Amino acid sequence: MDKLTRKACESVLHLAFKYPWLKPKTDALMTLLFEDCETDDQAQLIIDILDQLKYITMHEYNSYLSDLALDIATCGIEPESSFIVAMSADSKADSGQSVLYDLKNELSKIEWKGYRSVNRYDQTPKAYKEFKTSKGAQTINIVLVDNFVGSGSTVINRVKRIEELFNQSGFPKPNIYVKVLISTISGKDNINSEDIDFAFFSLVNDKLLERIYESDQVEVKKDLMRSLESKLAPSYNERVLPSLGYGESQVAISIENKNTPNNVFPILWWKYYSDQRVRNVLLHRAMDDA
Amino acid sequence: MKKNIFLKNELLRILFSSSNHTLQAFTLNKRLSVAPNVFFDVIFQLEKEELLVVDGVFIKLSNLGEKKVLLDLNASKNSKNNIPKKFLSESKLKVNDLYIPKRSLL
Repeated sequence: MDKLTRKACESVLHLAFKYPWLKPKTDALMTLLFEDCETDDQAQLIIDILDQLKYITMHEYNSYLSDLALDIATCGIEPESSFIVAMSADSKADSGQSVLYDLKNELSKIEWKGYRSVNRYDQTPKAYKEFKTSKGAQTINIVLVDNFVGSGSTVINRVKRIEELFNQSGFPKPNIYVKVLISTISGKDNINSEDIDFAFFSLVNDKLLERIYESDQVEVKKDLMRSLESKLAPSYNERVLPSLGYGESQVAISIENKNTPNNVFPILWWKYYSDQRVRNVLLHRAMDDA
Repeated sequence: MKKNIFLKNELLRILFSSSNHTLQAFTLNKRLSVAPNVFFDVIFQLEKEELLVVDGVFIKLSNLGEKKVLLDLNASKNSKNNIPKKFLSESKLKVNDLYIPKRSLL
């Protein structure tokens, strides 16, 4: 964008002062508001969403991490019989492993030691097998960690799968705790309804459009968002664009220097236009696991 | 970074020479004529350094900014025609001494 209109100049200035995290991103903000949005209604919709966006700074993120470490140390489990397990399903770089690694330092600060860490949830039975040969068969505690919970379905599946794997191998049923840094409201409700021991340290709104607008306006706004999304590439590497965020979660969150979750409105992070041009996006997410 | 310092000074100077040391952001952007993202970066940096104040759509020079412009003005006045002593030679050139010729006289 080379030429700035008076209106654009004033609204960018206003937004950047209201939400300081936008200050280094004025370029992407202008592209989003004045190139991607063609009508004032669309631009207003984006502004309403930005208004609700929860921006988590490194500082806040780290304080959630130390809260998490403290919670693990004080929830009544013994480190010697505990496994801290990343929610990750494979050996690719993943947020669960990032939290697991960050916890290593936090837990050592508070002298909670002797636990075992596992960086893939499906490797837990194998880790238990090794544990059993040295310490003998006993009931263990499994703490599943990750940084963000969207719909909660992943968590529920992981817990079921671990129980299944332990059952198949004839190991004693473990006590499973799920502890994440940030959860959506629906994610929390879904996990709690499954009777899983769940802890989180920050809560974000999901189903945002339903929350911001009157019920008769919601469908109009969703269509408006879909019309914006129609400019984006419908798929990337056979992954389909998650309209309104994965599972229509409609989340607006950004964690400083961390991958944006796919539950966030894709208009904020989907990197390609329908003609495969690269977008100048406001939030970043590695497109390989779009 | 150097370019940025030049832009910052130029922006402060424009503000200084406008009435009440205040301009609308849009007007300031037009007078500075740089790309919008560069413009915003410079504004946010100067605001952080407390050299200007952003009040809605208006950008105003702060007292600190005013001082800086005045200091810069004085500094540039002094330096223009004033050759520091250490660059002036006391002795005159002798015949067959080496010297750097003045280009315009060649």
